[in-house]
Amino acid sequence: MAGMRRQPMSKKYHVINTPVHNVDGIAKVTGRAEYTFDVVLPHMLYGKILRSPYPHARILNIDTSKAESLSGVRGVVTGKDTLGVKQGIWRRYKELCDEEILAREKVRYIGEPVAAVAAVDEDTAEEALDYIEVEYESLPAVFVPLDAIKEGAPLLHEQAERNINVTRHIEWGDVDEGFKQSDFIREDWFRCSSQAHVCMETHCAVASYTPDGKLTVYTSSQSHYYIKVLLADVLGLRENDIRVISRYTGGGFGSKFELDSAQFCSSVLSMKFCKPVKIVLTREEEFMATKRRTPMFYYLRTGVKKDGQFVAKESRVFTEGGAYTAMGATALYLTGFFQAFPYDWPNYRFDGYRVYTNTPPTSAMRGFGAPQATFCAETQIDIIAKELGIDRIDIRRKNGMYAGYEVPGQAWIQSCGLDECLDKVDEWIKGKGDLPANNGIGIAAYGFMSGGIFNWFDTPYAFSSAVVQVNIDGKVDLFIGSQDMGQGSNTTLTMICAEELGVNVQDIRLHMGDTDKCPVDLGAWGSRETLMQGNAVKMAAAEVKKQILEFAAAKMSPNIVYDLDIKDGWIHLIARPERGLAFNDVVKEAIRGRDGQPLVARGHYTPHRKGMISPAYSFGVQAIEVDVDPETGKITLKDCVTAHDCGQVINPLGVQGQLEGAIAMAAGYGFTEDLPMDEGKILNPNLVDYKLLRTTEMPETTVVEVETYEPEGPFGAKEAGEGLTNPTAGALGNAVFDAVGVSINELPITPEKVLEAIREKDKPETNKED
Amino acid sequence: MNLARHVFGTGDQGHKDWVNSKGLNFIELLLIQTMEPGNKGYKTLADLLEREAEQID
Repeated sequence: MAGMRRQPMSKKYHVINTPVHNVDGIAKVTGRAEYTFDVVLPHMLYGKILRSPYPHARILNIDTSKAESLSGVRGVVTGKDTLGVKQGIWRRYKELCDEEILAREKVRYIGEPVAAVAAVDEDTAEEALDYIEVEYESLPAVFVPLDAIKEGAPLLHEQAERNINVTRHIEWGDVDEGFKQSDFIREDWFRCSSQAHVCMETHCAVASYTPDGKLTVYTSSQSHYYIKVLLADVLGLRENDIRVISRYTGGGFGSKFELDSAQFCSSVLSMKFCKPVKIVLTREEEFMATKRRTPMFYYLRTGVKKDGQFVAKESRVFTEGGAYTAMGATALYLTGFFQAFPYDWPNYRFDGYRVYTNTPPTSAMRGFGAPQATFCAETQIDIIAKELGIDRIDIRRKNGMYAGYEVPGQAWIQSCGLDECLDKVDEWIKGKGDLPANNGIGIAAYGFMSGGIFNWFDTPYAFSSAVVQVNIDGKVDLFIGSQDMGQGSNTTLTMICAEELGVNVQDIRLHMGDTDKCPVDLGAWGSRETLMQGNAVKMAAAEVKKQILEFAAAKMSPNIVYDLDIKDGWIHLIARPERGLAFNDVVKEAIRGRDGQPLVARGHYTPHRKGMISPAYSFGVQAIEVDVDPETGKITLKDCVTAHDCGQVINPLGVQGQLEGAIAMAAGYGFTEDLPMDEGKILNPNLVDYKLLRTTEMPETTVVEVETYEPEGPFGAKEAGEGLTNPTAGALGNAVFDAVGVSINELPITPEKVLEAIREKDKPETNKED
Repeated sequence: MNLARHVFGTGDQGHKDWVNSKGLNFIELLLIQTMEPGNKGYKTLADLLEREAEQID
């Protein structure tokens, strides 16, 4: 075996914190990546879904005979072809499993599926929809939460008195006593709008049921494990008679880890006709009939001392739930939790209500209730700072969280770089000097979770698992259950494996996106993958590394096995790195010595006793510079800096990409995107009228990495995904406040609102409305 | 107060029925909690629970 090679000693990590391009990048840019849309199976049929035109109606009768007699139509299914199981992602609480997907007796929002057609091609399926005759009895409908809770309002679900779906209460300290001790109290009302996910890839599925009772579903998903289990629940199949394949997903942002109409209807059709069926939602269906960000009506009352010390905060919110629970219950809880972030509030109270309305259901969307909370909180803090004559950085620094802080009864903060983030942003702002007229800089501080602790899905499995196998040529197979939906987790996890095992990224072959071949992971939501799947990968890699080092130790006779390490494919004595053996050579002999069995190990991670929400939290501060045209109210984004503490950075290229995407999405939420409705119907269900931020409107963006060490994270890492979405709306609003002196309490911050606020501010005092 | 939080937190039919049987309205208490200043909804329920506990004693 070859012997000696010099190794550099100085670098802490060989792979971690180096810029690595996406391991699946070449497949994506060359068109080799197979998305669900690309899947074509022999004898495949095409499906289309008929949807309710009413926001609230009883289904009296559905006549499918004319549609079924159309040439090229294989058949039609309705709710009567299903088991009628009400499902939902909150499986632990049956009363929150309230959605049938194919409605049987009642529809509760415009766009709710009532029938599905399978035909030889898409056009025929689409034509057949016009021949399905549905007799409805229209019912009174309600669209706004504060109307829906009134006595006598139309009831969406029998078990939900006054249409109250979920309530949440969070409290610590004594808020009323706190207000008595405050020198200054401010109260404000806010309205946070909805937002569409607008994934590049719409919801789609190809379901193939075979006579042996097995169902395979190719789908665009954030969690193939969740989809498998939910399908088993509603179809009456065993979990492992269902295979879900989701190798590439073109965006998720929270819209794709619940069972959707494409997955369900294609499966029901395929089970009825024993043929593969493909359903791809149109962009209009995406807007009208998939879930969206939760609109919230917020009240905040905040008490502070005259030196800016925070004393008490009372927060109350009504959220527009839409027709079903979905993940809205979690968004309600998290908005209440993150309303207190990232500050030390001695006294805090939150009361939240999710209310059913006859609108498309609201659910998870990147940030999960935190962007709404951060917008309200940060807007109010700037107003308070101005009224007290306190610098906005100083007031945040004075009250910021710190490592070792306990959110009473909720969470422990083990790592926190908030102070350093404030320093970096302060430095950036000062570097700008004096700004031109009508230009301003706004800031917002934030924090976010690295994965959730609650097991509302009621899974018996570890939250994340991984398998690492080392083969005779030194090539490593990494099996993971998590899902890359464009956020770069495949690359991050490959890097973690490479670092732990001491090999290079290109030595690793990743296996994911197939429930038949990959271990369980709960999926890509709540910014959990770096920490949770990362820990499972690290554990598996460490276990197999130990097997290799045990063999190497026998050959090299170090004092103890821990005197050995592996870096860049070189197994060496730590104290004498020039003395070692090539990884591939040791692996070859180890496998021979084990009866030809590959070296394999498993890893897993489930957080234990880490509070109520998450095992770790990212922190950050964002500053945005804007120009406001006082004649039109138009806002132009000019520059942006984000100082983000994600613990140990794994892939700096990945963090940059996440930040740029987050700003585009969050700035859109702040001032261009909205889903206006009329009687429950979305008025702009297309990419012309729904205003996404364009590349020409994006500001220069800079990310400043603030490194801390998170003991719970792999190599000290924590999230760099959803947290980056949280501050932008607040920073944008504060920038407008800084530029032209008006604070807008309603999203999106449109030119009309800015102009009206400027005119109101400029009115002489005697003419102002009370 | 902690017991009041538990009763509201479970929100199941058993707890709702008990509150309603004592002359209060569960949903109205929740709405008062949100629509009016102070901790009124919880305090009202906490007072009821204290009175009922005294009766049992």
